[in-house]
Amino acid sequence: MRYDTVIVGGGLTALMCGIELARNGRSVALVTTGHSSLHFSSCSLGLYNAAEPLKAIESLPQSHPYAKLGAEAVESYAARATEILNIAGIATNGTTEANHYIVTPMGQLRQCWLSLDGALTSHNGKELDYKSVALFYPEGFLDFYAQFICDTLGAMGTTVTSHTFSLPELVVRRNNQTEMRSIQVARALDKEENLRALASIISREAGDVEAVVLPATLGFDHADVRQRLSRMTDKEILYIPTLLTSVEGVKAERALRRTFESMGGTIFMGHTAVSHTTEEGLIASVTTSKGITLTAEEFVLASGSFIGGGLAADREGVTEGVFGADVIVSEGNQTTRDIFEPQPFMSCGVATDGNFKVLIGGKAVENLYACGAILSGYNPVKEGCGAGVAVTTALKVADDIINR
Amino acid sequence: MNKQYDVIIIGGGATGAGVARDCALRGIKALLIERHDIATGATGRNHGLLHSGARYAVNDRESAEECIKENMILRRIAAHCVEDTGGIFISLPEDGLDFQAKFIESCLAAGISAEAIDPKQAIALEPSVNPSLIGAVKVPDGSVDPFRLTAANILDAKLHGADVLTYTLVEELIIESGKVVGVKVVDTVTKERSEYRASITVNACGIWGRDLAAKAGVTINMLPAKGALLVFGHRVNNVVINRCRKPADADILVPGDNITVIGTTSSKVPFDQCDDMYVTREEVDLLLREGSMLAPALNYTRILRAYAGVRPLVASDDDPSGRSVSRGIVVLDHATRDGVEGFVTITGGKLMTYRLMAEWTVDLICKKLNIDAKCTTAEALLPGSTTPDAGCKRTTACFSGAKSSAFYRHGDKAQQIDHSTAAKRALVCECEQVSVGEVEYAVGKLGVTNLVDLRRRTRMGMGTCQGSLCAARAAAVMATTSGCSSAEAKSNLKSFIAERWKGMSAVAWGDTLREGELLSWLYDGVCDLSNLNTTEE
Repeated sequence: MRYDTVIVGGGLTALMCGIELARNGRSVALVTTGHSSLHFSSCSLGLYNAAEPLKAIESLPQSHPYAKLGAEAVESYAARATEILNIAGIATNGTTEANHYIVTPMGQLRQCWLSLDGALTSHNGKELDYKSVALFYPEGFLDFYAQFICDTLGAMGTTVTSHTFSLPELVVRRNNQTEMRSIQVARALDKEENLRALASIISREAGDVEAVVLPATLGFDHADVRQRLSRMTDKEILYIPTLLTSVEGVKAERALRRTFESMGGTIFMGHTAVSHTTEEGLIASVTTSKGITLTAEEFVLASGSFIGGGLAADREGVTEGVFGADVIVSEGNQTTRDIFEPQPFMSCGVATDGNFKVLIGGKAVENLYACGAILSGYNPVKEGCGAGVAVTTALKVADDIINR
Repeated sequence: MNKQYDVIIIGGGATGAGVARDCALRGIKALLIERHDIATGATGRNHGLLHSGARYAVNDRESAEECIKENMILRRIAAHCVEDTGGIFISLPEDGLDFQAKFIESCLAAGISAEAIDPKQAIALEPSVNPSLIGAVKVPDGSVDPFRLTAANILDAKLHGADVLTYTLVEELIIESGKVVGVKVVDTVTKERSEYRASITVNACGIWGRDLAAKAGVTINMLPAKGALLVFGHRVNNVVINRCRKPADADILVPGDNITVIGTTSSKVPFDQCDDMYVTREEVDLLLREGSMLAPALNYTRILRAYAGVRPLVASDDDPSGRSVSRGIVVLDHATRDGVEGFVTITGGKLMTYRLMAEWTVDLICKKLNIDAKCTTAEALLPGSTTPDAGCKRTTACFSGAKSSAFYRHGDKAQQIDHSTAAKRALVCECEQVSVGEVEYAVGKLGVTNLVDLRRRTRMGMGTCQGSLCAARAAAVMATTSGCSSAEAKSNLKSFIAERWKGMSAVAWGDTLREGELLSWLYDGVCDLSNLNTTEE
């Protein structure tokens, strides 16, 4: 099968790049296993952890993806990413000027660039934007840590009350020990009768608070559950992310996929890219685990780091499996014994030139690009820049392909 | 709490727990003091092998005989901690069969049943075994859970009147007129100091016993011999596989719960490393190389983590490997040995002989205190194993899910776990099927104060996800159950995650590295535990 561009990967990076290419009239195929790190998303996107993120970017070492882009390009790609998220129906809050803060599942505040609209946030990192909130969560739902949240928000000066609720459908769910998880709760709240029942509980119990806060389980198939609940209760409804599975992350991924496909993009879901062919120094095709061979003008490697499967580590070292790209690893041990210290393996990734063309055998391949988590030279967790690098490099690569 | 006891036991490993139980059953008022949680030292850092004694039969007849006797006793008194897997000793082409004949003869002489079977039978019995084997011998090996075994001893000691203090460090021995008369301790959590007195103080500190003895001015020449092990992500074998040759590194593969363990190495380490064991790359290489000779599947099975313990060997000479030192039991009456009254050291030995070590120690205590009471620990069943079918239910899936897992872990004590409502049955840890009810039971009845303790009692976080899915849930449930503050619970969660990673970092490649990356993303990223909010403290 023939496309203009084939992208290996299916997460935020691949979809962002794919949408940008597709909306500029290119025929694009994504090859993806179907899992991505959006499934444990924090409901926020980080650009860079610093008081003034764009300023801080200017002094990064040359090996950092942001240094290759330059602060000006980072800013404009970040703005374009926000626009594309909007096109996909993913409303966000935040600016590149200064970070704001999202409330984590532990109830703490964490810096971010964009937060998904509806997430409980703080503009200054010291206090919430609300003086009184009521927490509502399903009885027996273990992935919402109400005590932690109450205590931490309380310490920031917000009055918090905590309420559990039960719905007949959730009572049935709970009879199966593993069924009381975020996705199941979200699916239950997709249903009108359940939402109405919840609304009446909230109306009865919440009292006079500025906002009602729930775990991020507000609908799975329907995008407007939060707004509907807000109308039914006449209260502002907000949410706090949960650990696995991140319902909002999965919803965002599905929205991006729909947008990509509505623009003519093709997704080879459940396929793993396994091999490639070359012609005269260029990549000619990629073959998937299900035996489909895809030819294209350009190829984009957006397959993520180790979790995503873009990189693989064995006892001897780190490799990129589809193209055999050059990989940059830090000197010495790839791990440190304290998990909360920077882990060298986090900065591993494929080697690219200044325009994210992938190096193989030390030479840049003219029609093979890399973007997102598979890139080397940065620590997404410690720098809080995972999503930022993902979307800005994805759009840079898309631009270069369009202008090629 | 009392301040005056007959006996103070220092050290909450299997041996100390066994001494406390034996004292309590004989009506001797005992206090056990442990600086961490129970079973944190060598007790919890070995194979969990229920030795038949066959391994020692050729070179150390005395140890072999002790092992097989204790093996049979533990199957009875601790049925819920033991799994009767059986074991085989295999000969590979490079080993030849010469050793086998001598091995069988020595086993039989020590009272260990040892039956030669042909390679085909061995493969039928244990399909994961190296198919190039040229011979095999069946022996009554099994597996034993050292955490549960220690917890059951502690539980029974308390039931019979013993007191137990965990997270309590002995800072000083109180010595009056050349006699040890008590201890000065500090609670490591509250920092509160107190004193306890007793006629006899027992040093059951394992390798750390050297330092305790020094506090009484007594020298014990110990040899810290590190043993490293690897845990694999599923149960590769169902029968213990040993190598039929002179005991060497990494020649025992033991199945337990949902995992398999290969070990061990043996190397001398300095005393200052005993508190922070780290498995080196060379040790991992050796364990994998030798382990895959027993079961080739280890080459492509995910390694969950690496860990190491320190054997408290009492050295007679400076053997660098620590392997030819007898694993025999050493009871030292410091009154006769060093002229220090009221002080006894129990060391050497092995997990298998913890009960016998306790018996000998308490026999000595009785003699010194002129108490006429017989040891009953070989007959009295441990809590969890007091119903006749506790052992058989262990291998039979009577229920599904959390209930049967709880039964597997706690024996008949599982009846005390509240599974009456859906809320109590909800799963905290999916890999190991640990319910809210079981967490509450562990906090309420088993002295659990933090997530690492909880892991030792329930296996929470010991499965394939190594805690990445369940740790936060467990922290929240524990905070509610134990009433600790959110700040404490979160810092406890952070320590738990850090501890899990320590064991993973030595084997961080393949899926274990991916799991590590997820752990980092979730707890350092999404939860931001690096920047714990201190304002609420």
